[in-house]
Amino acid sequence: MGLEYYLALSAIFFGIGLYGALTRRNAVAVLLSIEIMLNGATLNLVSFSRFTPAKSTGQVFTLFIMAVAAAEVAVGLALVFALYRAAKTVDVDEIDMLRG
Amino acid sequence: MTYAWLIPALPAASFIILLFLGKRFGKWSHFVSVGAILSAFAISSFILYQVIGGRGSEVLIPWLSIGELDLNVGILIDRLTAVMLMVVTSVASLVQIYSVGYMKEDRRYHWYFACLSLFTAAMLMLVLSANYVQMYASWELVGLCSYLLIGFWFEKKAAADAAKKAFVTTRIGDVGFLLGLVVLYYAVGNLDVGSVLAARLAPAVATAASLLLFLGAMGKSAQFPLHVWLPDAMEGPTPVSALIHAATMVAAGVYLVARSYPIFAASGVAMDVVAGIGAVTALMAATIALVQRDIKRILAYSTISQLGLMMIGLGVGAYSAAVFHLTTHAFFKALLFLGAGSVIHSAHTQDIFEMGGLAKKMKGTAFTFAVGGLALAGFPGLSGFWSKEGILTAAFVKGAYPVFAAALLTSLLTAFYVGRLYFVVFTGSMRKNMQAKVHESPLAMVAPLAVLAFPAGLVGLIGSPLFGNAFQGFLRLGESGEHVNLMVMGLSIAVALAGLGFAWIKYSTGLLPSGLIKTSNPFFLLLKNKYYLDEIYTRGLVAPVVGGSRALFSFDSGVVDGAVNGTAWLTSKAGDLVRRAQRGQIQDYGLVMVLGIIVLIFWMLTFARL
Amino acid sequence: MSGPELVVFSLLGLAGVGSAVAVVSGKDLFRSTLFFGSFLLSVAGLYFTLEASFVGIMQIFVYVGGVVVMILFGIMLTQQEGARLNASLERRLTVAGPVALLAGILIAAIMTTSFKTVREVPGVDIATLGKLFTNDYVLPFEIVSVLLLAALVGAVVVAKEREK
Repeated sequence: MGLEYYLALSAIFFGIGLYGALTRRNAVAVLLSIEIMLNGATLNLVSFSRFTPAKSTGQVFTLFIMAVAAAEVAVGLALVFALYRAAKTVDVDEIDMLRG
Repeated sequence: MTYAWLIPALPAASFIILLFLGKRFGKWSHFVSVGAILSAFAISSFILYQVIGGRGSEVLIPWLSIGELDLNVGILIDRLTAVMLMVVTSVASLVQIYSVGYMKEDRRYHWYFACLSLFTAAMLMLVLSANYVQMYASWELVGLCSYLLIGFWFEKKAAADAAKKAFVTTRIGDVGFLLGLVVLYYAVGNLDVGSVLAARLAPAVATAASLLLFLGAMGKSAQFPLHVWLPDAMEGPTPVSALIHAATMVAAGVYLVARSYPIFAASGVAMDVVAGIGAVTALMAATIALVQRDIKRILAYSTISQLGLMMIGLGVGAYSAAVFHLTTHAFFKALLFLGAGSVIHSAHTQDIFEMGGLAKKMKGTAFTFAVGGLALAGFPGLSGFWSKEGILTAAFVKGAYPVFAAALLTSLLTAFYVGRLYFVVFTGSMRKNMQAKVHESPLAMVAPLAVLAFPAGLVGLIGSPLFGNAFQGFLRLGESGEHVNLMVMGLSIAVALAGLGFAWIKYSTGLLPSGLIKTSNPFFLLLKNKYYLDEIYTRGLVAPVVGGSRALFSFDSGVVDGAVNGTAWLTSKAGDLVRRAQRGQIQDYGLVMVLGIIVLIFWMLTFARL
Repeated sequence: MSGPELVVFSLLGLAGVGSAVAVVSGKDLFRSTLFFGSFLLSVAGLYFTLEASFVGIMQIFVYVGGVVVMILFGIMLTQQEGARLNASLERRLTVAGPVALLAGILIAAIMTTSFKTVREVPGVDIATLGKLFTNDYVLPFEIVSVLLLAALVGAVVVAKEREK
């Protein structure tokens, strides 16, 4: 009967990550926050795989997400480097190239 | 005669060669072009020889088949064709040789010869056409070449404008030609020249078809009221004026009427219209020529006038006399234009009153010019005399006295303005600033003049009573043989001598006071301004079209474009407004997303059943 | 959930939440990253309690051993002196409100939902996972390998200094 607890915990992780992603001013810190959100999501999946008959699918998904997350971090960091070189800063407040 | 197709094909090949390789040939381009036209001349001579021997041919090959419409192309050789071939190839050969000297300095030398070749090819195709559609295509091609060559010095605005004017004006006539072909097609069922001419047309159909065809002829042959382009066409190089706008292309209209003569002959109305228009044109152009100062324009109006005379001839039924006049005119008018070119080349002006006394320095040019001028004036014994004679006699015998009077008066005026032109340019004292620069033109220019002087002076003899009107007999097409009418001949000689004599007294002897006709004289002004026809066209035809276009344009730019631009303005302003929300801060967007998700969840919990 | 399990879960959960909060609020990025490592370890521990030992081990290998180290390198290469890590208090509060609301809604929804399948199932062994990867999920597996390669090349291209 522990599914709800795990799910609630993953929701909390997700919320904390989201908060960080929206408030941190450093691009690397934002990356970390997003990883926290991702971990919240994967915890969700593993919990379901533990407590439902569709057993192993959640774990498979989690492993896939890990692989994707590793790729994401690699590309994300590369972007941070490129950004740092182009704008001489990783402060996301000062980076508004999206603005038309 | 199976090789007759070579006649247009050789210049056409020359055009293609020069088009692609002309730059490489450079100053040697004329060898290609002149070689082609001389070969064509040789073949034409042989064909004339064969036709005199009594052979003619019509070769037709199917070209297109569109539904029930079968189009043939082919080569029709009869006596008219043979004569025209000779005229075109001989004049074209001489003009091209002359151009070698005249155009020497031009930087588009090869392009000039390419255009001349194309023109010659088109003109030869025109006279050889065995099908009216083929003829129409050549006709348009000839018009295109005329456009290209009038506007050859397109850097000059006047030349570019003149080219456009010529093209647009003749196009009005071309529409008539095309409609005429439509009428003929419905009446006859095909457009092969042979079958169209053999067909028996109802009078109404013949009238309609011939008047429409004549509209085309009016455009090409510069007949009133479509003559306005020809004087302006003198902006082109002078050899071009000689070849196209004096000798050959403007004769295409006359040729069209002559070729379609049976259709015209079937309609009395059409014949009268042709004769009437011819008379008006001849007289009007001759009077304008009296007061012009530009040497080429005088010759241009003279050309219009003589073309009018040919139309008179056709209109009064003197088919062979008209073609005869076309032939002689081609030679002596080409000679005059080439002579004028030689004068301009040397004097660097076209105003005859800035010249004077040129005969001393330019003996060859002056002599040949005199031959051409006398031929044009109808001096007894020379070409123009005999051919004009035929037309006058025919008009008189037919009893068309108003037309006859107009033609006679035209002859008088012609003799006068020719005399004026010659005496002012070649006799009297030379201007001081002319002394140094005037010189005889190079051999390449004088030689063609000399060669051309022979046919210009003497070709008329073939058609003279002295040789039993051999030319007319060769071409005769159902008309009665001509008889020498001594009274007409006497009148003709009298007016020619009177005109020349008066010009001699007025411009060479100084016996008459110079202020005899005041320049403020209204009649003088009327002539000087060419009867204000250009102005009338500008105000009456061009202005309304331009005005209407302006109105439509302002509607387009104001209302239509306004609506379009208004929409764009609105979108842009709305964008400006919304843009303020977009700060480019991705975290703000993320926050908004979170808020959106919350709203969505509430919405789903409240309204949607999960 | 029995007593000892609940104790372990609570400890790991508290460690995770504490680490996560430290990651998103710390003033020092380097330290944040270390807390991120401890957060990842907590989650790995939770995986073990869920009898997903292979996933837990992978979490440690890939995340703690790979990602965290890589991020530390990134920080060292781009760290700037005196750079402020946090947004203004006003902004943090503005964000915290909606995020807390969202999390609250989620937890409320989770707690009020009665999940149908609550029967505990035995854990999955590595052999089963291996078979799944090479049978049912072989295509995603291969695609992920291509994705990793693409990310590797892409990261090099993006981060590489542009040649003039």
